[in-house]
Amino acid sequence: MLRKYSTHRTHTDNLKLGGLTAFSAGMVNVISVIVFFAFTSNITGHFAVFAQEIAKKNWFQAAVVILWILLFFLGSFLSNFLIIHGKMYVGKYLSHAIPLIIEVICLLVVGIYLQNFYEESLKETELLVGLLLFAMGIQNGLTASISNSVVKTTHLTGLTTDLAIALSMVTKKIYRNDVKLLKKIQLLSAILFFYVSGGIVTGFLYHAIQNYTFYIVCGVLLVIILYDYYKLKLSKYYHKKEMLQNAL
Amino acid sequence: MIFACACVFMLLFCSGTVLLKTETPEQLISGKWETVGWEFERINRNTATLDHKLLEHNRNELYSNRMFHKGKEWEFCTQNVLMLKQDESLNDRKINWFLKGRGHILELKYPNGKNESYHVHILTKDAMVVYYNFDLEKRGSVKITLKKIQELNYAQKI
Repeated sequence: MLRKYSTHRTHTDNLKLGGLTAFSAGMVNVISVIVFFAFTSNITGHFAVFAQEIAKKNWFQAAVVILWILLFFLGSFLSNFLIIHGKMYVGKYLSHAIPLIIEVICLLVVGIYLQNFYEESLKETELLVGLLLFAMGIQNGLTASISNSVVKTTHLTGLTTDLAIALSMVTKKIYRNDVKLLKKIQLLSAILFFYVSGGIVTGFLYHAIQNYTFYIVCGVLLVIILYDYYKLKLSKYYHKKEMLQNAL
Repeated sequence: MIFACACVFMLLFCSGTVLLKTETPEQLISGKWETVGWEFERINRNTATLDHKLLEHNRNELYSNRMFHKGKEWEFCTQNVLMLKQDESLNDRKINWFLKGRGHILELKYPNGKNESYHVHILTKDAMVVYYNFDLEKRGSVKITLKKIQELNYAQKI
């Protein structure tokens, strides 16, 4: 689900990647709201808040919000930068996995910091929110980049619109058997379902295990990273076996 | 590409300068504040015209159900300590305060583990308006207006 790129990706690849990353994004968003009172998986609201803070002449808050937006932007930039430049140096799989590894590191830093050092000062809150936004920017950049913008998992505004459009298309008989359209509906519904599920699960989990929830999110992301690694290893093993058999 | 980079650096420079030069919400909130207004926003009558006893009754109802503080004077001290000065009949309370989000949420933590949060609507050097937070996206129906108590320094006193 991670190593294939653009049009080489199958519908199942997108479903797996979309589902798992949406689940982790939903989790991160809910934890950040519980702990920091700030949304971190999307920035649409932050643009509105930025405008509002400017209008209220709250320059400090406006500067904080614009830095958060820039961090999300930098995350997406870095993600695609690593994908397009890293391919020739480290191969397709690793260049796609590195953004996710960076995201895991960011989430781990936030989780460990919250558990051991967090004194609930505003500066710490703003920095950790920034780091989470950066991580979400990386994730959104990665999924959008490798899936040719088909999979976007950290926000639901565009997705809800696309889903509504796709469903309205189905109201016309000629589109009801359109496989491409049906697959699109399936993918968007899956992302929506997993994003919300991630949020709900986190709502319960956080009350039980508090900041350990961050490790669960990291676990979900590691599944994505290791799934393809395992598949690569497995295919290499079978390839070797086949070669040996042919040689004999 | 150059234009995009210039825009990003410009934004970084401007926001960095603003962060360094302006007072943080934590600095603004520090000091003594007195409650000058206590309004219910979501009732169909102007609270200014409401019977004083009724307002007091509603306030006590909220105190007993959801809001725990009864401070007339709030003193935001260092180390995140908030001193709530209450009526003469009651003892003063010492709780913890934290600013969250981008400084727009004031969270109060009580020693018994109970928390309450306020949406900071206005925060300037001498005025603060907070709304009791009932829910994530909903601004509370209770609006509390506070005025900073200007403490005279030694030079001003003499």
